Amino acid sequence: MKQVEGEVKEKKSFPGGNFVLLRIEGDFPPSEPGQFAMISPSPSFDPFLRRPFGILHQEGNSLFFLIKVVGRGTRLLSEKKPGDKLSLIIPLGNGFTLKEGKVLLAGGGTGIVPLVYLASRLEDFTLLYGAKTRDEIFLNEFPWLRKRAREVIITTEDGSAGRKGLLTRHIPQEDFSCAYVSGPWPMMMEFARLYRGEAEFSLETIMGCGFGVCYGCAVRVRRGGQEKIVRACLEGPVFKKEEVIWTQG
Amino acid sequence: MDTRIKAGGLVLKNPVILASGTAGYGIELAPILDLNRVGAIVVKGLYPYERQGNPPPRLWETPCGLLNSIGLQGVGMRRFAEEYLPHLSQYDTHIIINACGEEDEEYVQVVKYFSKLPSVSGFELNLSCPNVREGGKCPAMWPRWSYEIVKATREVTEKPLWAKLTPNTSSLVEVASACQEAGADAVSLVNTYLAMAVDFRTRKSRLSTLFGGLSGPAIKPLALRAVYLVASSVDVDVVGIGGISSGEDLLEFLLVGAKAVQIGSITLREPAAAERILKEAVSLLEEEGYNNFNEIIGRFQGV
Repeated sequence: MKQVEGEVKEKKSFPGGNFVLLRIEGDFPPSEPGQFAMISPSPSFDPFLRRPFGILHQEGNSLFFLIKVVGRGTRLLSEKKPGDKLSLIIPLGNGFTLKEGKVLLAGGGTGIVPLVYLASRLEDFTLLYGAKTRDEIFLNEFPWLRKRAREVIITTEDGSAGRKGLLTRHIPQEDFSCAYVSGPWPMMMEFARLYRGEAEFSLETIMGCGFGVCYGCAVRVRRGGQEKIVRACLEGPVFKKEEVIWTQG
Repeated sequence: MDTRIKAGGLVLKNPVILASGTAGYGIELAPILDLNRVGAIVVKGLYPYERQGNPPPRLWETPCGLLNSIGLQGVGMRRFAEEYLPHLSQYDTHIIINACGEEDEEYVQVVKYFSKLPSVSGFELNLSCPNVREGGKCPAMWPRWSYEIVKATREVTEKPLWAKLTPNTSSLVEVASACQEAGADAVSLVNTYLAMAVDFRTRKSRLSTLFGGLSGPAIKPLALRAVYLVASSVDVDVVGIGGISSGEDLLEFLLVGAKAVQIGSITLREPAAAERILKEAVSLLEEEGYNNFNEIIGRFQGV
């Protein structure tokens, strides 16, 4: 992990103002799909903490992020302009384990982010991509994804694009060597309940530091035959299906 | 500039110490922070046994700070000694063990266990952790209880012994004084301020516990006053803690009487903050014509 100052080079905002794509240039160390970066939304102390973002793609000295505005920190980041400087800590966490053969990528909402990066390393994959509505499907930003995928299944809750209904109602009934899943907690929980094969899940939690010192991003998992509380940032954020305990409370 | 200072029975290469609970076991920070550049590392609180800590959610960000209820998750003293200490002791800095206990006797166990190890420079007793004796209240709320734990641990170690105090008491000065009488070489303060965050939609706490501990720049003025009160009335070294985020913050704490400081929450957003803070403090001192940190300690001129 390294702390690097990057510069926003390109920004694309989407209708509604709740999503932005950023291309940031800097002297970044290499990352793996499923790893994430901690980005500081402000040089001031309010907001105080960095925010975790899955890496959408890394190429040359550029990093790509898709940011959804969910609060003050993400709002500030969405307001950054080309030329603005940002402090990043990268790469963090454990990425996905690459498997041979045909795999399934299942991404809900911004959960698509690490899967786009993962797809760039895969030969044979089916993409299952769900969102609330068509404006929150960003497939057009990655034209190569559709070309490379064996099949692309889009789902929207309101039926405005692709198949209508929750992503978990449209899981292909085929055999895959692995399913890589990323999205909101209820979606992943339902996916885990329905899906029989091997799967890896990228968990999203509130994080303090992102590099293992604060113990704030605790998740309950099953490891070595017992329940344990581990740090999503260091021991995750990617976990195997049999490890995740879906009822955290 | 000579950055050395003496604090709590140790000679530190500089007054910037990594606080317990925000620096893990030290080595997690090593990819970004040069651990050789810090005055000391106080490792994450250790009990005689491994601990799971509190269930999630454990964090809630607040203006200029954060609330936490981590619940002292940790690997316990043996695993720390076997898996972490050998790596950490390769760095040229003091390693201070933050000793915890659910029962008074557990503090003694931890101190005794590490007392023989040459790589350990000293101890900081976390008198602010929940104790079974008073239904989860912490010893540092009361002078007498603090005295008993410091006294009991003092008997099993020759190494420097510090007591970390909670500000959540009406007897802070008396507690510090009791620690001094029991043989503590320093008191470090403050630990986090009890606080809460609620969600009006769910009508529940934002954390898995009712209260959490508030830290970060938000508490700096409160901590500065607490340090001033203790340093100006008790004859014991004070290690200042609470929201320190810049070189100027550090100098303010020294001015009101702290011999050294610990930096905590700032490390979460800036892993190498300790190096920056030291650099800033040194250049500020030089600009003002000081030759070392000792020239400013306790030189507060009041109103």
